[in-house]
Amino acid sequence: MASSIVKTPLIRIVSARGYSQLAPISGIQNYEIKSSVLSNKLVVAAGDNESAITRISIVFRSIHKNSSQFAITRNIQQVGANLTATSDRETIAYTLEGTRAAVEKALPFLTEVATQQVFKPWEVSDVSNRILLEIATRPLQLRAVDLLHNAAFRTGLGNSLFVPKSQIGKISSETLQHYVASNFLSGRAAVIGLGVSSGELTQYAQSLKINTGDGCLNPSPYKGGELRSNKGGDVAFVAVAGEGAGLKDSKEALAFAVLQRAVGIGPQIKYSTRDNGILTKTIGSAQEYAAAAINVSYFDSGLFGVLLALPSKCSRKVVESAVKLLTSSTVSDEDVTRGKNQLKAALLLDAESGANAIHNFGTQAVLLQCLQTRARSLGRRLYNYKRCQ
Amino acid sequence: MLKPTNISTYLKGVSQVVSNQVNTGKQIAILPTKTVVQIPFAGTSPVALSKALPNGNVNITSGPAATSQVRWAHTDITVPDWSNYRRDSVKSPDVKSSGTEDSRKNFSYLMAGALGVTSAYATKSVVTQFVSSMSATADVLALAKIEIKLSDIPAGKSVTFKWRGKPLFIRHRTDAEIQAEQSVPVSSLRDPQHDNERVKDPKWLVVLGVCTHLGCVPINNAGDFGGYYCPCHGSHYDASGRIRKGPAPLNLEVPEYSFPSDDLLIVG
Ligand code: FES
Repeated sequence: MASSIVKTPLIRIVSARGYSQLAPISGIQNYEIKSSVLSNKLVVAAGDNESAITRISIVFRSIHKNSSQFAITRNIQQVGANLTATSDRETIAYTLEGTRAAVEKALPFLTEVATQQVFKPWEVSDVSNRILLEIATRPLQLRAVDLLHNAAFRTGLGNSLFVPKSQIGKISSETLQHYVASNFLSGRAAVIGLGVSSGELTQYAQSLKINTGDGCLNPSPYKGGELRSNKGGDVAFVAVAGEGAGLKDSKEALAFAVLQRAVGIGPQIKYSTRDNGILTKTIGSAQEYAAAAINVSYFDSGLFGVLLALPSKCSRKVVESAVKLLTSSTVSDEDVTRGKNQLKAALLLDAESGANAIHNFGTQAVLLQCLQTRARSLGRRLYNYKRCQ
Repeated sequence: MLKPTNISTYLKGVSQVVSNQVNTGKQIAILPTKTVVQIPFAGTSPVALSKALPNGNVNITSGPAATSQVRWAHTDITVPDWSNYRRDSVKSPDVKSSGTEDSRKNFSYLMAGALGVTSAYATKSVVTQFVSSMSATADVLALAKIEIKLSDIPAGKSVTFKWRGKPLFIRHRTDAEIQAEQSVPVSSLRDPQHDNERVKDPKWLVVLGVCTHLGCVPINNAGDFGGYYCPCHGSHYDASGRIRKGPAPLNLEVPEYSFPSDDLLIVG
């Protein structure tokens, strides 16, 4: 290994460095986001970060019903682009990413996949085996979070991200078609582009045939409860949470985000077992466990709590102290400062990745109908943020 | 129908293993075969667990290139065993193969060389056998040569022999004939050849007695030029066997011959 480093000619390092400074693959960081709302209430936002990779995302606001799989188009891969559908509990985003030329060629497929879905019955039945496998192999911590939502909200936000096992193979293409027709409306959609000029994107957004309308959104209020699922194994995953803040109250949401970091989200340094958060300090390091604060913000509600992974036989004490922390605890100035710093770093790092950035923009645009480069504005506000708990 | 004594069998939650002649009416449960899936699990150490814990919004991504792969592991494929084909010296996993490299190479080269030579020799003999079958047969070869005692042929006389199934003319030329043939201008000939090219010893002319026209046997000492004359279509050959007149295009053919001694001529 050492010899190969010696063999690398210096000139190559220099030239590679020169090119990388010329056009960084992730583009520049202080780009401007231009957003506008079309006459049919479709939000269009574009940021040209001069990146070699272009990402275009069509986002819909919808209460999650079913993990969606679309007809696989080899053409997209042939031009070297990648098309993915990403869904969380409130949104579903169809994102196309690739070099500018590839995206240009594959754009018709994105249009088709996101706005003119055709669920052919044989294709729907084809994916059922794969979904079965994916559901069977999902990690337990994900199930814990799923159950936490279910217990907290019951319906709406409480629906699992995954289609229930009993429904696999029973959801017909008509059901899907109906779901799309009633949810994928221009009033709750956004078109986001990164690495594309705002003019081009607006033109593209205007050409989309999305049904106009706002649809209806049922708020899912926090209810609370407790759910257990016995899956066997030595490790128990315990999620304990109370209601957090929704994104519509951005100040509260920010406070919870800082609090999450103050409580601790797990080790921030390589190879370290523990973070320096309040959670770890409260529980102590007498026994083996992993703990992280979780904070999820949806439009009108959210969840804040802790997620623990620990040997199931001796979970009692740890869970008790975690609950004690959530119900009655004080946060010191030092903790808040640490939380703020961590959050700032996390947001900035997050914004560096185009894939994360476009996901963030999509969520903001579709839920809040307005957009800010989250990292910068939040960062600015964090400086002024005072301890409030 | 029910006898009180049998009632207890209806209260037990067991199925019959050995029939006791009582039909309990219960079906033996058949459990559906359930697919068992191995959940990928990174590990149970605190570090591994804390890496796996989500701490924010969870979302699912799927797509043509993002969806999980399914690979079937076929464990019934037998791996072929090559040990029959390996040298004994390299079979042991804890012996350096470089130690026996020279001897193995020498053996290989020697074997390759020896087999190469042997097979080349074998190939040669086989090829020879087939090729020789195409050449003249033994009885023909036996007649391939003819020895002629020259003292039996007087000067000015042409004698005919049979050689390889063809007539052979031996002519003991006189000085006058030699003189005449030597002085013929080559440019006047149809098949220009000087007399010296056709004979080794000017006294002796050795030619095949086959007319070059259509293959008749010419007649000795006949024709306009004192040599040979073909009666079939009238070709005249001179005393050097050269065509001088008539339809034949070429001179009479001169076979291989030699004079081992003064008195002996061997043709062939
Ligand atoms: S065969 Fe002798 S001349 Fe025709």
